[in-house]
Amino acid sequence: MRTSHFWRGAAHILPLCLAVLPWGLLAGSMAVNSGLTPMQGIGLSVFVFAGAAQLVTISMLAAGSGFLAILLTVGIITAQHLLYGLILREKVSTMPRRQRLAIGFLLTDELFALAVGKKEFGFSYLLGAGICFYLFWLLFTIAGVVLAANVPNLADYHLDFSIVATFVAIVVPMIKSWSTLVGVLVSLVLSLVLNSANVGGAMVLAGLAGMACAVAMERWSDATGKGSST
Amino acid sequence: MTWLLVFCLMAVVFANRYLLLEPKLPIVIPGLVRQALTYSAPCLLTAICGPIILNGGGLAALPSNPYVYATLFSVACAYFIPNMLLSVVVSLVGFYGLMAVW
Repeated sequence: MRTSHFWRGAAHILPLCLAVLPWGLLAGSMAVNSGLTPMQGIGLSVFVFAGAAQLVTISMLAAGSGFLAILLTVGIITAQHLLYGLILREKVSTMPRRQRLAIGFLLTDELFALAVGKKEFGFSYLLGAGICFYLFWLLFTIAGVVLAANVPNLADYHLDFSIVATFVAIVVPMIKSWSTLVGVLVSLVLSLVLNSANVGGAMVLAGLAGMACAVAMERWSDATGKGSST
Repeated sequence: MTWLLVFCLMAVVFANRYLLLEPKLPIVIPGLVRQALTYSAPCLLTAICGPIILNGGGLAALPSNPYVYATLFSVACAYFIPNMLLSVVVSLVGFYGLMAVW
């Protein structure tokens, strides 16, 4: 356990903590709006700790969906974590079990986004970032539960756009080759098309298709000797 | 009932997160998959933005959707402003400016 690495991880994830403020507020306030008790709304954040999954659960509960339908949908929506696990596997699978379990619980989109950009990261760094993010998520959910009683129609404030603003700021600097650009554009277009058609698992499908196109582009430009890197 | 659902959801989400971090799970990663994984971050993060940009509307509504123009502005910010946090702040200012006049 390296204390300095722990705090460095916590500091590095701070911008992403602020970025999920709207989602945390939404998750908390929507839970109460759709009839969950305040403790159940907070319980979702304490135990499930997955923004998109929580919002889907809450809206499906409100729409009267069944137990299994909710479990299946959440299973598909969070399937991208399998990919995160696969990508971080080389480094994390060699850690002791207790550390692996902790990282497994804390492995969110945001922690992955932070780790994947780093060449070197250890357990302390991931733990600091993960726990910091967890505490902020709890804080925002509780704030959302409290706000729900006082601020009606929180969705009217369009807080969700800060997710886009943050992810764009992460993704754009990653685009250093034509193949990455193609992958990102394919992911974007497919995500828009599939989501507007309400296809289940739309984000996973769009992301995977984008990755496949990027690989195809890279191999094609290697084969024709043009070189995809700029 | 709701609490049972909460704990089942916890199990499902944790399984998805932990499964491939388990070293006893024998996985040989083929070269093609390894190559594809180098594109996973930009592609998946972009895909997650999709439903937010739709803003509750469909494809036909995109030209009249302020989120589309705000996203284009965010891309410009990210391209021209090297500091990530500053770029997010500027694009959010642009977004709320746009929403105020929309």
